Amino acid sequence: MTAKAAGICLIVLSSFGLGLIKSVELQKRYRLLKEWEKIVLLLEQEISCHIPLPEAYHRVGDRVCDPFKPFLESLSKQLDAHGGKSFREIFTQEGKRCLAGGCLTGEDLRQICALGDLVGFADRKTQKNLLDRYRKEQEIRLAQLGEQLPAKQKLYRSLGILGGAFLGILLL
Amino acid sequence: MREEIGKLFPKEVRNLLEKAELKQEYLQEIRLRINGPLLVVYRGEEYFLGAKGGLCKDPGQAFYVCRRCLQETLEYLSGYSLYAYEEEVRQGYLTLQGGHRVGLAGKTILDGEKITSIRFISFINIRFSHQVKGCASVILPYIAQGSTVRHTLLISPPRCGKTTILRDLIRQISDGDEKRPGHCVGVVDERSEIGGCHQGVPQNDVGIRTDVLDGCPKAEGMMMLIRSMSPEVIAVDEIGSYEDIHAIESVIHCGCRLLATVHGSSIDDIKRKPLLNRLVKEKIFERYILLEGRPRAGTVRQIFDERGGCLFQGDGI
Repeated sequence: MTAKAAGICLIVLSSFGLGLIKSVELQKRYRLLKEWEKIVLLLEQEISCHIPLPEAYHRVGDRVCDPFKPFLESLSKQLDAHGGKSFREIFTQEGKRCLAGGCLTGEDLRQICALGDLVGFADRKTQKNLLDRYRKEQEIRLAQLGEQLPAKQKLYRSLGILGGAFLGILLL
Repeated sequence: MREEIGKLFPKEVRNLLEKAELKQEYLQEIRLRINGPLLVVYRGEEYFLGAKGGLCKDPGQAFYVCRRCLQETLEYLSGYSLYAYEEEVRQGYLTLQGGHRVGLAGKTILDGEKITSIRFISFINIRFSHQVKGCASVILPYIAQGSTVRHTLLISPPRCGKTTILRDLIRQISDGDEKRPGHCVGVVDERSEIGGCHQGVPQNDVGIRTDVLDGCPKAEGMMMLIRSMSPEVIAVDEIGSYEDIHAIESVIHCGCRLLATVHGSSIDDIKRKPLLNRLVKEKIFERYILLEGRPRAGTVRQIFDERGGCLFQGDGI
């Protein structure tokens, strides 16, 4: 009886914990996307100062946190290595290697890798305009996510509690 | 050949260059042309890069450059960042780390009569920089005596080593030695040929007391240096325009000493140019150094003072 009660408590608690973890991951994802928005802005500034991309990524990497810091550092090294791949290939490869498996969704990763198609152009004006447009699209996306965030977090937490309660009652 | 040179090229070209076992100090130029053989100027002679490695003289056995190969080379030369070299590309060149110059040619884009860019770059010429330390030693005693540096004009036809000599002169004047104190030198390096600056850092040794304004028009650059860097000596390459001459007069009236170069083969040649003739007549320059290309680049033919008196005569004259 006591064991059963303990088991039911554990199930309820873990269900609640799962809901809480999902809620926290959502928050973390939002923070990471905000950090990415900052990275794009910093990159825009570096490019407007005529800084070549390997140097620009290295300098921006110094000013951001994980997981973007190792991503940008690795990207900078790969670009300097001249390994025979196009810029887009290197960007996508490093993006998947360093950023996959975390809080970012597949769509987030796809959007991040899309930046690889937008840099390296021959004239600064086109470069700047493309980055500016990309950043604005990310801003809209982030604003939508921010608006939905409190409701989704509440939903996950509530589902966790209710799910746990349901399972607990079921097992009684 | 150093690794950083090989890295400028796609893997296939890199492998062939490695097989050729070229020594960096004798490598002068590598030229790429779309649908043309890859050319190497080595030890003063022209060769083709063989399709199986090594150098050859027969274009039929050469490695031919395709469009993809040239584009990939351009990506590596610019660090995937051609936008960062917009102004240099407009002028038809890039400067690499190490001071090497890359000449570019292709279709120019015009805005009215002004060149705004080069699109469809189809020709690349990489000229490898070789600083020759000590090449100005023979002329230094005529220019720098004690703590005085004389206003000097180096006169030379193209490809006779005037920029190499100017660079070494700047270095020696800047560093000084046991006979002469070092001087603060300001260099206006409009085409990045003197310092070979890469991202603002001189890749050639231009001396411990030298400041370089890279990619700056000469006239404006001279005034900026005087206002902000307190140079004792200002060095510029290839003077000739009205603005250059006007700025030179300001430099001299500010008390700076001037080292300059000009294209020409004699002082009479310089006198035929109205703007420069005025400087000669007013005895602005105290030393005229005449260079020639034989037996080798940088050979000093004659040195004159401001009155036309010959101070030095090279061998063979």
